[in-house]
Amino acid sequence: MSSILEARNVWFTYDSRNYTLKDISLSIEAGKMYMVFGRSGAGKTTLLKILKGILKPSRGVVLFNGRPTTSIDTAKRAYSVIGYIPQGFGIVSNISVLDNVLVGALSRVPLLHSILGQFPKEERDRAEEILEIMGLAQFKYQKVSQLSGGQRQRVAIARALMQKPQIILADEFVSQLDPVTAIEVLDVFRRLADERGIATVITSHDIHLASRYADKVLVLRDGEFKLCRDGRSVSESDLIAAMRETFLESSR
Amino acid sequence: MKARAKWRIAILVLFFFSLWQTGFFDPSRVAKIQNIGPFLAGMLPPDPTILPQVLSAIYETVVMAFAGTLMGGALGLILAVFSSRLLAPLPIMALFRTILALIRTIPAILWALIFVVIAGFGPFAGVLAITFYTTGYLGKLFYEAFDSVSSEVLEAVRGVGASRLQQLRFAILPESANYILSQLLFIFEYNVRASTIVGLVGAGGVGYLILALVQSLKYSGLLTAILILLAFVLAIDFISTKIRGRYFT
Repeated sequence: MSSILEARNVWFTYDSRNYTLKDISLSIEAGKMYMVFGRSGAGKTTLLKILKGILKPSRGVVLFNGRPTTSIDTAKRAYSVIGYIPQGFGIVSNISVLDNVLVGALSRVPLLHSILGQFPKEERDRAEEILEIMGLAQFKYQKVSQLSGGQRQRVAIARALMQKPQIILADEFVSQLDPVTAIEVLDVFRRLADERGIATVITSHDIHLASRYADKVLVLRDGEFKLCRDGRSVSESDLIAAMRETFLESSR
Repeated sequence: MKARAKWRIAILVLFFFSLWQTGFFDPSRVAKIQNIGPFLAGMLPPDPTILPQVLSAIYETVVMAFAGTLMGGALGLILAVFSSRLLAPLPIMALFRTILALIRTIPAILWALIFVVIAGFGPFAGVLAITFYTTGYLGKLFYEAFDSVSSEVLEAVRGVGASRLQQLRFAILPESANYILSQLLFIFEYNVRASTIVGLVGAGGVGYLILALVQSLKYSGLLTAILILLAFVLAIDFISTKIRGRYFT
């Protein structure tokens, strides 16, 4: 299957001395779920920001549908179909759940209409449908600040879905949730991958979820991929070994 | 001599020099402090007949403060948009921040003098003075609030392809709304006092009445005006603090 998004030999540095990412290559295919593990500071968030286009690679290239995102047109097209959920979800706490979800449609709505809060009927219907799917329909007029952590997370997913995404990138997505909510959220992602062909890249610390959900598991250490394996063939002990090695190396 | 001791002596010398320059060592002036007795005696008892005039002037002051706060708040909001590093390109941002800084260097009473000259005596000049002062002050607070919106929220809203105006409408304004409203209330409370001051140069309100009472030596009426004003300012401070504490913290 051809890749939607591909990082090819990507290097990245914030200070032009130390590289946060070193020669990273990753191909993201439709309908696949990717889980990236690694210690804090391993480069997981940087990797997602590079894939989203928030950061530009220092070396190497990111390709969207085979075309480099250095071209403005390709970068714009990629930007609009890659959903990105930051670690703290990045939702606007002082507006309603429905408005937060409608934010996902902003790139498709004429400027003046959006500023006046007049979204086309089909976008409103779509937002309501997504809220229904995410189990948030009864909260749509509530402010996000009144919701629980798990509900906020679902609002963030709903907003990403409103973008009509081909890929969703989610940073440290289940780390802050209780185990039951974490499983519910990952079930949603699995369904999105299987039923709608949406690829997902999730960074996480929770290794026990890897074999259950991921099609591909990656371990990032000091900016390099040290493990890249089929999700079903990877055991928790493989991951623990990789993580432990990370710990021992970095504590030396 | 140690540097610290030199500093102390220098400050002391400067202090006495300042007092000498401002007439504190002039016996004829110092003797005038005795006037405080007749002045206070002239204030008592407060004159109740002036009450309707005082209430009407305080009403004018509060209306001036309200109108000036809202107009200054609206102008401050517009200038803040152009002064925010998140929303405006660097040269525009620098230009508008300079404009706001210039507006802030002129105190409310000077704005009042300027507008009294331009528009004549009365509350119209007062409202314009309060508006300008408020614009400079709130403009700065608002752009600082915009610039401190969570970078994650902005990244996420930018990430859906939102334009700068859409980012303002759907992320920056909602995230700063509580702070904006809280500052508006605070500056209204402040402007009630400022409106009294601008009245002293003829820009309407209770300050204008106080000026007239002082000039015509009606000290008992002055005491009535001061007491009623004090009660109003305390009441507005109390209500504003309650509202801010309850809704905007």
